[in-house]
Amino acid sequence: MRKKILALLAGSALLASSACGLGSSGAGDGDDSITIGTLFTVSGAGAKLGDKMRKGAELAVEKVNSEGGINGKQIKWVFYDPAGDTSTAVQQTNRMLDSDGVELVVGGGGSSGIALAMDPITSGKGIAFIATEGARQIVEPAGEHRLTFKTTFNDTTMVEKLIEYWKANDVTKVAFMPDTSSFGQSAQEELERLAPEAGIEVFTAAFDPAANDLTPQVKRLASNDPQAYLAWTTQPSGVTFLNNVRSVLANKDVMVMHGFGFVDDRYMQQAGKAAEGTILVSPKLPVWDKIDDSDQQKATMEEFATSYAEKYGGEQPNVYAGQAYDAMMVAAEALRATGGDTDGEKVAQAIEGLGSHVGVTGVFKYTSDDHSGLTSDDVAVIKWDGSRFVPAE
Amino acid sequence: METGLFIQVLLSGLSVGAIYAIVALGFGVIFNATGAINFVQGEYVMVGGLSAAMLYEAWNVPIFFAILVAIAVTTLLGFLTEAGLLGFGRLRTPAAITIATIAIAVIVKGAAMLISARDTYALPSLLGPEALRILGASTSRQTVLNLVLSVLVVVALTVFFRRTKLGTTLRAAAGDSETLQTFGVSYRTTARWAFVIAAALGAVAGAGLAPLTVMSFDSGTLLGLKGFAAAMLGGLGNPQGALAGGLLLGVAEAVVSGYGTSAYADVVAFVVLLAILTFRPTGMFGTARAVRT
Amino acid sequence: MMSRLTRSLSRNNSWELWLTIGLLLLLPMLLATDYALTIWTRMAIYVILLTGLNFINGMAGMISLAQAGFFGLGAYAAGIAAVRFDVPPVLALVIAPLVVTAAALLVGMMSMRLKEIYFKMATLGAGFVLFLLFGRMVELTGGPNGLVGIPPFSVFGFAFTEPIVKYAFVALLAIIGAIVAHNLLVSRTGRALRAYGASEPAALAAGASPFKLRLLAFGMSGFYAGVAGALEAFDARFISPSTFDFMMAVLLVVALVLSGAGRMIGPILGALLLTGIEVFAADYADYEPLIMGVIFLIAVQLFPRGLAGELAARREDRRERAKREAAAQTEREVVRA
Repeated sequence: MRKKILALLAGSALLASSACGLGSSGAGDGDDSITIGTLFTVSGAGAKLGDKMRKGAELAVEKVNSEGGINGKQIKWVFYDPAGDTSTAVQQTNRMLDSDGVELVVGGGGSSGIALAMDPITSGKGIAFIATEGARQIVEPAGEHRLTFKTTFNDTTMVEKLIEYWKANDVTKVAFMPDTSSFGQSAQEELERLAPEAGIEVFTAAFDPAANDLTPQVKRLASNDPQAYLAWTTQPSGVTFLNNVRSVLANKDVMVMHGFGFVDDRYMQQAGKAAEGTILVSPKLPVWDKIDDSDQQKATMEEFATSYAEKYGGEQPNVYAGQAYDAMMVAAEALRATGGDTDGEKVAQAIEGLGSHVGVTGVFKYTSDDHSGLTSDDVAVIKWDGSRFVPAE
Repeated sequence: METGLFIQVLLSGLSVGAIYAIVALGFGVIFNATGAINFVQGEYVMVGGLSAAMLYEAWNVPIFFAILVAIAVTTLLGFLTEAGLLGFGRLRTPAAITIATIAIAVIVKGAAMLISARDTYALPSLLGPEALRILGASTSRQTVLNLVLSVLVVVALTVFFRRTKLGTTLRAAAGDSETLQTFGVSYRTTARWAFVIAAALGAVAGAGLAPLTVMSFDSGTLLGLKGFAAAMLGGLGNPQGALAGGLLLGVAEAVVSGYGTSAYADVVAFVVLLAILTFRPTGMFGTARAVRT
Repeated sequence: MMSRLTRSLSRNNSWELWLTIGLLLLLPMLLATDYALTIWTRMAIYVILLTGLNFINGMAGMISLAQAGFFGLGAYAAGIAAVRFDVPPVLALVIAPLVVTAAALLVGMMSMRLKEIYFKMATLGAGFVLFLLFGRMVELTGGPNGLVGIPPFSVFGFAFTEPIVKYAFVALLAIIGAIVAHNLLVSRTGRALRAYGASEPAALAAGASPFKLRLLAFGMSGFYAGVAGALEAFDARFISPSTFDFMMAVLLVVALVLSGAGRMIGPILGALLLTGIEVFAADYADYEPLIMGVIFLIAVQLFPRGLAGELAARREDRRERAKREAAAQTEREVVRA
């Protein structure tokens, strides 16, 4: 009996250790490849977005490799799914760096919390990290995040664009409905900080991303007579928001708005008539074919949109796929500049020295003070016209 | 405006509460027959709603037919759940069955994630998209349908439990094989019926929920737990209690959303669950079973 | 019944304790790369967490789904103390278990008289409320983005940042925790607790108050969860609500039940299982939930009484059979004679 348990224990210990991949040596030592590691959440609540991000990154890796790689070296891509959990992500990051021989990390799990948890680990090991998540704390202050960059908009940038748009349209009172996830909460902080300075009154009512009815919040906010209703979420309840606002405010002409997390054809189609005329802040990607030919991003966006749709059976890329694609491309370009050297410091200097990188979600201009790279010039205000996104006038 | 908000809160609460009530009924049916808590209940709602919406949106199946097929699919899933739990004859205690239902819930959700390719799907209301206006408030027409459905289901279940032989067995069985033998029915038979009925109820709730929002593979889990809180509130295993518990929980959440700090609305269900178990574990309307030692 | 219990206690438990200690000392020697050490550290934290859960799950025979919430409460108590109030880590490591013990006693009192399945759901409710509060009390917890800037554990200015030092510290606490748990179990109180877990009348006959015992078990589980939580906070130096969700609560219970609730060997086996699952699952991104669910179901079906419990039961069966055969043998001999 005792022997049996002992044997069993030894067995499970062996299993655990072999499963750890502890025996495998670092994969990045060879001269013929560069190992890039990525975490995106492709199961659980954030799965839909994480899947888009994975596809975007995958497309970029294939593109770089098919065009001859980085100075002749192919990218070897390591991918893990932390399922939305930070402690799992920490463990997987350690695994990538210590066991899989990952030399550069692109993509921070698809949620700001995960990217924030990964940053100290990558930095501690002298590895450059290009995040695809929103919270500005991931890269700010840049002096304390020497090796960490991101390819997403700061909420500050988005909010500034919103305020600019509201001012142009004489909106002074705004009803704001962020969800209670990190995505909604970060935007809430920024909006409540910046809007009052601009003379815009904000009335906030948060909601659970899994909520099935938001009419009480909408009705309550309506008593303040706001001219615009803005939701901030990536979850399906954003469709409920559209339906509920239209239904509660039936005969009122108000501006109904969403943040960039909801720029998704499927969501808009599913909200049906309630989505018509919805205004969103977004990168230019969804309206790439409607913007002026002189725009320097146009060719890049067109190539991305067509090759994405081709690879994934006609599926339209969204902003998230674009961000992940951009992150991988920034990494590749920086590595070309270092001559394939993956030393964190050198990669960071190369990224800061890129000048301007024309991506699909914006033109990135990294400096030693700004590791976000995007400005409100890269943000477009777009509108769902009932069948597709168009630029809002 | 004030009465408007009040009516709006009430309508919102009833609309979501009707769904909670139908979910709560499912918990009750399985609890009465096996003494276990079925964590797959929330996933039945997801499967019912998601498959109806997928059939409608992706394969252009007429809406009414799509809902019927979805109910059939979910009922089959209920049948399979029972087979997966009790088919091996190794799980005997309600506690062991309860733990195993969590495993099945994880499997169902994982499979739904792959089948739906993580996409969301929408199902329009059978009654059309127009809103219903009542005293300065507005709600989806689906709300009325859901309320009528929940009442009908409660009446049907009450009659079934009281008037039919199978119903009486299901109600009295409570997983007690000795009692069952005096009725001349096997434990497996009662359990199978209970899971099939509970799954069908879940599918109905899913079809009722889908028009209020959009469905994804992730829509069921939290809803299931809230449905359980509703069941406890009304008294686990008591059909009328489930209806009252569901509607009350829905309204309580809406009150916090409309009048309180709306960010805390989803905490309500679990605070209610804790409070009711602490102060009145038989629920407001009682349950047939002893809950305290 | 009672005699079988005491017999198994005196015979089995101390080797199980030695094995636990041995494994905690031996595993890092097997493999001591930085990555392996982070895994072993995590495993040692799980050992503490599961030793705590074992008081309720194993001894008192009740299933608690609040342990993940308590784990989180410990992590947040330590993290908030260190980040928001500049409390030295050593003190935070003391505060966290006290906070969680208090919370656990409160939940214990609320759910004390409930029958098994209702108790389970009450603990589920408590765990869920805690999980939601971690995400909602943004000012204090950092909200869904998580709590950043937790310092490493340090004593008199010496920071525990080296993986081997971190592991040694966590493993030391895990070993102390296991010894304390073992001593409590073989004490009079522990026997009463077990008897209560096995059957209530037995406890009553032994003159023990089942409610006091249950409360004791709950308080102990809270204390261990608090220590584990504080260690998690100082180890990861970042905490977010996602780690302490419903799935974690379920995984903890399943790991303990599968490896043998109520036995001293349970926590270490369960911790190996949990870390094994986490590491193994990473390779199957898309199919992970499906595969996990199937493995989980098969395991529950194969070992409804847990691995250790199943083996023990089999041995019991064999002994019974041997006894019966021996009896039959004697009978035959008697007849022949």
